[in-house]
Amino acid sequence: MSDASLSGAKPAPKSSLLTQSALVRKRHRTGATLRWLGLGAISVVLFFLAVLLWSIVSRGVPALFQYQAQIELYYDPAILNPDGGPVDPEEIGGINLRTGFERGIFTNSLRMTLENAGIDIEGTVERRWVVEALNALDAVGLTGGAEVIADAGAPGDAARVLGQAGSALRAAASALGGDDVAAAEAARDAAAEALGTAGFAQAAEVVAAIDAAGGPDAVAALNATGYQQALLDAAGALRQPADFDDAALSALIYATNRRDVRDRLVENPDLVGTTESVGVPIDIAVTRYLSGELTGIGTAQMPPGFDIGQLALVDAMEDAGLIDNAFRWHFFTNPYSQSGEIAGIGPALMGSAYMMLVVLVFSLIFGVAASIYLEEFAPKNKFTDFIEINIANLAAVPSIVFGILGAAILFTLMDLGFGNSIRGTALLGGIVLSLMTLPTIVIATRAALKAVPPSIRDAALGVGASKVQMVFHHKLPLAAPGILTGTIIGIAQALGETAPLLLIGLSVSTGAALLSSPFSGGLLEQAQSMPTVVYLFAQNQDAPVREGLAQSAILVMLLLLFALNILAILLRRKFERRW
Amino acid sequence: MNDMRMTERGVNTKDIKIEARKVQVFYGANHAIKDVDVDIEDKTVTAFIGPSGCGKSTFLRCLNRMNDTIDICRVEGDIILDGEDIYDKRVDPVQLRAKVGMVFQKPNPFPKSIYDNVAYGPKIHGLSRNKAELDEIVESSLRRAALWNEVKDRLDAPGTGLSGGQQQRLCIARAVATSPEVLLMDEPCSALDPIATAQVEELIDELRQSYSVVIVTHSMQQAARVSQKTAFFHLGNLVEFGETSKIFTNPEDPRTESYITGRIG
Repeated sequence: MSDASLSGAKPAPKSSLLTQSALVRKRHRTGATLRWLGLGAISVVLFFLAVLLWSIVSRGVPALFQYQAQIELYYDPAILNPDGGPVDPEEIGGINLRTGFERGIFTNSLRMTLENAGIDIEGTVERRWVVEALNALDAVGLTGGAEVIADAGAPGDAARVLGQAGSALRAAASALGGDDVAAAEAARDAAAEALGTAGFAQAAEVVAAIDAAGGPDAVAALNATGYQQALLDAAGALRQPADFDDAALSALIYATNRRDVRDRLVENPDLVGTTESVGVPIDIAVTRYLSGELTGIGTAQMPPGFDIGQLALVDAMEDAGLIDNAFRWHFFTNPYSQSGEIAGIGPALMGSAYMMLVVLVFSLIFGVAASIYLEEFAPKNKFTDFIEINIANLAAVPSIVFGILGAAILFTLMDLGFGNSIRGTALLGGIVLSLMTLPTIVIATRAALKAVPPSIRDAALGVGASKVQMVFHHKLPLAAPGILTGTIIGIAQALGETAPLLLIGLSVSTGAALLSSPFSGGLLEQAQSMPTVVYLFAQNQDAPVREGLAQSAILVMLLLLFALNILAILLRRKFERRW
Repeated sequence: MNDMRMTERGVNTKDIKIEARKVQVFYGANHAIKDVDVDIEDKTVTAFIGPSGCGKSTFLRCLNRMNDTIDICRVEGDIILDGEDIYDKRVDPVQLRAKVGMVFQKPNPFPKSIYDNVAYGPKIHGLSRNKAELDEIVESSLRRAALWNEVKDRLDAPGTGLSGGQQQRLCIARAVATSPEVLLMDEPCSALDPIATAQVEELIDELRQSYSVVIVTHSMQQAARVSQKTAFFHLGNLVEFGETSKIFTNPEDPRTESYITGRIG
């Protein structure tokens, strides 16, 4: 310092605190960039999370509600025993009872209910189709269609009249395109006359005015009127009411395969001949119409397999207050089914709960024991290093590999004579998931044990505790919150795991459908699990199931996961001790 | 605590409690303690002084085999407690540590209640037959540690909630609760303020009535105040061992003199 001043070097100019130096500015710039990058990353993550949650909630929550028709269900003895005479309960429960008797009961009851509500079933359907026909006619200027249809009498007769006019126009069109002018003129006049006879005087004049010698121009002029297509469409619509039958009526509600009705009758044969008010689910395809998802015109906007006549009936039922939107309670108790109306996640919830129990017992006991041994008792040598590295590696093994392992064990056990019954059991699934969760728990437990201050270890050993006493009296209680958190996170991970369970047969829907109640069965029964049932829902043939119930099941699963994580946080808060 | 008293203490001849002969300690390849011979007398406070890293704490931890918990640590030579080699294969360190208690540098009470802290040792060593006896041990230990009056109304309060000085006295109570014969103290006052230090020092002086106390300290004033015997360690060697008054007033070794006059260390 003194050297510098002695040698006469200029002292550095004094810098002001009020201006930033270049270096400081650069440092602040770097800091600001990092801050913005971090903010950006978090915003992107939050955005995608919001999109995900929105797509699940917006579809899953409405799907938890179900449209159902309030129907006076009449257990008609005439249907239960078409031969007349008393109904034998044994016969109702018999597998080979005349199949489809439920449909008969439901159809008749629905018809009765609608009539009691003042709905003219056939009339409603007919009126809707007449409106459809009139719309077609009006669209091309065939005015007076209403009178034509009314004059013709029944819609079927009107269809014939309109159809004849349409055919005449078609013949005229083909004749006008030909070389024979005389024939063309005759066909044109015949068509005009058919229109006139039907009652479309104005249209008849238009057709008659077409130049018979016009050739292609005349054909174009005739086609431009659109009469032919409109007449044929209207005729087609008017033919529909005659096709409306019981099957079309009962298709509106979930009436087939009603094992529940059969079970109820077997249980209580006194029901035969009585009436009770029940809510019957509306067909899942129709629910989309009711929820307003299908609005607009065209076949793409129709529920598959339904026509506007049936929908008119649905509208009438809604106006009469027969349809309500009730919470789908049975979703939580029913087993999975191909039919979205009754499908549920009951056995899946129970199966997942059973598996979580198995995971908890197996992985907690083995995981904590392994960690304590490795952390406190194992000699530090190459072999234990090798084990440690492999435990860390195990945590990164894709879950499907554990599934393959589970499948290998399964097939070995099956060969050994356990048979097919162990396929897809909760115990097997739980063991496979335990293997998967074990590394997570081992890593969490070791970290928790390491985090206990060494002074506690010294204190315990110094007062004369043995190693085991030191671990179990002091370290383990202090590590417990960390172990619990790790365990719950591991279990939450296992709860959402699909791949290994698919490989060991937990996605088989038929097995769980055999369970009469979701709460029957146990560790050694065929089980389902939440993720595999989501998979099944997502594979369903009906769009409302794929896009609604799958999301509902995911929603339930997410809520369970949130609950588990909150539990982990609460437990940690409660047991956390400071030193 | 003047020089007069120190000389007075020095003339008492006592039984040898711990006899260390040619003790060597290795941390892996590092030779941490070299050829240490020390005789620790009963009912005496022996102070180990020396610069940081000289091995005094390491040697202290040899005396109750706390070094066993460090994998790479190896101890050679003989340490004889009441005529028995504590490194004999038949000796269980757990039993040894009940006889040779230890208080650490940083107060380290268990995150449990004050009562449980003190009762833990007697419980695991089976020193009490029933709750009444245990209560008695806890009370007498806390009295010994001069803590009873401060905590008798809140024995269920967590031990970690006490002040630093109280925590250290709690640790001393915990150590004396197992009725040890030797009490090892590894810089017990380094984390305490002067008032708490004075309380602990007073306590050490009282404990001398019943136990042989070995204390490691960085403070030469503290060594002079509380101890009757002093050992000076330097670079793993025991440089000088003798009456405290002699070490501080008339050291034989020039290294000792340099250290106590502040030229090395």
